[in-house]
Amino acid sequence: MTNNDELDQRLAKADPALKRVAPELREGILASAIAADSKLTIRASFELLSQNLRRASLGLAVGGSAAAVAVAMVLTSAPTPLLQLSGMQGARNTESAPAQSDVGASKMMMPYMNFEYLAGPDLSNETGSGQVFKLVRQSTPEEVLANVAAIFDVEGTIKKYPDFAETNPGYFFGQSDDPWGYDGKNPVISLWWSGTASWNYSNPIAYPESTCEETDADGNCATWTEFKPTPELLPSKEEAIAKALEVFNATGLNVTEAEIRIDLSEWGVNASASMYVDGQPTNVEWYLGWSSTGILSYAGGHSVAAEAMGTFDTISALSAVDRLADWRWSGSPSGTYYQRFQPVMYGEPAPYVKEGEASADSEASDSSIAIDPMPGEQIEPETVTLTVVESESALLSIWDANGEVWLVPGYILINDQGWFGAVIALIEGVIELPKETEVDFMPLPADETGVSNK
Amino acid sequence: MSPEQFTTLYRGFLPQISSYLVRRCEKSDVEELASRVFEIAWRKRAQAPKNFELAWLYRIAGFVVANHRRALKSEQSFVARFRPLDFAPSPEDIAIADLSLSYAWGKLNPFEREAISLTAFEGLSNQDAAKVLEISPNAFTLRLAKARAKLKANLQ
Repeated sequence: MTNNDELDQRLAKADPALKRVAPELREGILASAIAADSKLTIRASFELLSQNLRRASLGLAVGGSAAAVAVAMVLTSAPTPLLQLSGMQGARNTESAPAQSDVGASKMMMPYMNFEYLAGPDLSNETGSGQVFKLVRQSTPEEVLANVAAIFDVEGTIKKYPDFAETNPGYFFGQSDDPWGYDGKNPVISLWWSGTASWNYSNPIAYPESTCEETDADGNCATWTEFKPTPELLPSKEEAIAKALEVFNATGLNVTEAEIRIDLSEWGVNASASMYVDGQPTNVEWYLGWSSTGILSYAGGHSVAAEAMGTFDTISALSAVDRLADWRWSGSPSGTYYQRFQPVMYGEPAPYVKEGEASADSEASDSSIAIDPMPGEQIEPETVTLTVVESESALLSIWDANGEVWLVPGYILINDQGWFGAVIALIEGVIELPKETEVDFMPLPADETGVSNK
Repeated sequence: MSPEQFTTLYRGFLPQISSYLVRRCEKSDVEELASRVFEIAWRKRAQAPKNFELAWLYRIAGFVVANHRRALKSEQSFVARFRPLDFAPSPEDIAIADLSLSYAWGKLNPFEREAISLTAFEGLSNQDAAKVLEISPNAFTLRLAKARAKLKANLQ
């Protein structure tokens, strides 16, 4: 093989739709879709929150700022819940999907799989206490966007996204006339003024220009210039760290050189750092990336500070094992845990490729061996037993029902399969859990549309 | 957008969505999955980018397919639950017509497969395909070029 024509011909002949004729869809399917909406109020609410979560990117891909400890009180009991959890714990963005699984999200995500959690002999039965922090947004949307714009030398005006609402307060800053701020030419900064007030900088011109080598009879490009990596254009590790320090510190994350993680490949460079609160890493992260052209192509961070809300009693690691089976007790730990346990799940971490792109060929080949059940085939649930062999204390982020983010004491419960679950360690009563019936459907592991306001 | 406007706008996309789904799923599942696609589209209709509604529908359909596959796979492997979304046609689908292409196809990652599928099968322009994947046209072009080069290399 082969030239492009031959490849295109083979692909055309291999089009699965040629062998499996697409059924004609009735127009009534649209009317049914509209009618179904009224029956899905709870589910739709969940999805909106799920999407908002993803926009906020409070998973492995985001960052935070310095903690401001304001109050510290000791409570041994909590007759009135401190916060009311949203009904979406365990249904965060795709990046944190691994955590959901083992932390008991199985009940939501895996109707065909039952998990049984056992406590190993080395788990402690000692109770304790831990600080709870609320992440409070800092400054105003206008000031945050102006600050970030100055750092990245972006000009323009502040606009609201077309779907802006009190529950969906999205802004962007730039010169684009596109209602969503994206025109493929001008850099844009987006800001979601909820949760941790996450912002994101994106520079479309940072990517290499594609040129057409050959056009077809219809005038469409048939062959595009093949891109080659240009590592000589990329910043060095030292240069990337220096720039990350400059940007992170200027946007509210006070970190040292040692706390910045660098991923290098011939296609790009990524720098990231976690917000530390009370000496512990959180999943609130800052990041910065260069495309293969060596131009800064994306960045992200938050405008938030941690406010101490008091010290609360915690259950033992031994007792926490029971919470693994209830997704409502799950929280999101720092991305450092995923880095640590990734080799167990995936093999060695794949080299950094590019934001949004797949990273490991080994994962890709998976689908080639997948065997789908026959239509109508009954699927028997499988029970998987996991024994928790070790625990660590960690700060976990959770979202409350009002769209605010909290950091609460939790446990990283490491099982005998080498993976972990993250559960909240607070005693019962400090937080009000959502009713199970509020989410007694099967949430999706990722937002259904994946369509954001970018 | 009123129900009438929604119906008027989206009825023209029914064949494309059906074809998209049948390339990636069992034919018997297409109607159910299409219903789901349009339910989501209706609920999120305010987010539909003007003039890119089909790309937006493909985006929705891609995630519906990926989640459908995850649900089907879930009983097979604990690890399968953590794998990245894959909504491209599978190597098995390709194998019906071309076994060696199927083998080469299987060695691509899901994002590479989808980049090629959107242009070769769905017939989208780079700009529209970029909208589906929510990346810039240049980034898509880069991804597509790399995917095609890799596919060609795999065929050799």
